[in-house]
Amino acid sequence: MVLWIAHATMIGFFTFIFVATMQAFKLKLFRNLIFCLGVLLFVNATLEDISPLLNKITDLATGGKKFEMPAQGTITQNYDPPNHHGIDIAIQTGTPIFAQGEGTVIEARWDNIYGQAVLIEYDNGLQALYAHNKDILVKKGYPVIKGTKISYSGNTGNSKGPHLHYEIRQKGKVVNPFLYLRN
Amino acid sequence: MGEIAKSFFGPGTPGMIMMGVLLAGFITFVGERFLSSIGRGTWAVLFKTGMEVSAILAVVGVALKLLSKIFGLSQGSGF
Repeated sequence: MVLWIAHATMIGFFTFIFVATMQAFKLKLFRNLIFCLGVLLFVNATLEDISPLLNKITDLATGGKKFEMPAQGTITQNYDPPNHHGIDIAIQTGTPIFAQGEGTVIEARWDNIYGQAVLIEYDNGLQALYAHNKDILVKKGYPVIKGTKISYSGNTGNSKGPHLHYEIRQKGKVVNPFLYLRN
Repeated sequence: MGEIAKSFFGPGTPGMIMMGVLLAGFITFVGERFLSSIGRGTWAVLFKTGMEVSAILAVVGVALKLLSKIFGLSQGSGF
C-alpha cells in the first residue's frame, strides 16, 4: 500500500508538472498525450502493486487451482509477456520433472524454440508446458497423475543453459504462472 | 524515492517516453517559432505535424505495450 502511494504520488506529481508545462506553451495535443501516459502509468503501477492482493483473491476464486512449483531451483527469468511467456527455473540437466496433477499429455515432441517439450492439460482446466527437456518420458495422449515422471530437464531448443521453462495456459492463452503456484 | 523514480523514468520505461513527449513539445514550440520567424510558415506547419504524429505513435506504442501486459493478450509461440 505504501509502495502504491509512493508510485501514485510520483506519477501524479510528474504528470501534473508536465501537463501544466505543455498547457503554458499552449501545446494541447502534447498536453493530452502526457495526460494519457500518466493515466496508463498509474493503472499499470496500481495493478502491479496490488498484485499480492489479487493473488489472494485469485487463490480464493480458483479454489484448488494451485500447483506446487514444478522444480526446486532459482528463478532466472520471470513471466514478462510478450518477451517471455513463462518462468525459467535453473536446474541441473537430468533433473526429473513430475506431473503436477491429474491430466492428459496433449503434446510431447520437439519444438525448435522449446526443444523437447511436454504440454499437459490438467483436469482443473489449466495447461502446463515444460520445455527445454533433455528426454521426454511420455507420449501424446498419455494420462498422468500427480507425481508421474514426465521428463528429464535439459538445455534443448532455444536455450542458453540448463533450465526448465514453465508456462501455464488457460483456454490457450498464457497466464501469469505465479497466480497458479503455491508460495 | 530515488529507486521508484528510476524504475519509472529510467531508460526504456514508459516514463522515459513521457519525458520524450515533453521534450518533443519543447522542440516543436521552438522549431515552429523559429521557422515562422524566418518566413517558412509551411515548413513550420509540416514540422509541427511531423512532431505530433511522432509523439502520438510513441504514446500508442507505450499504450499497446502496457495494455498487453495488463490484459495478458500475448499468446504462446505456437507450440
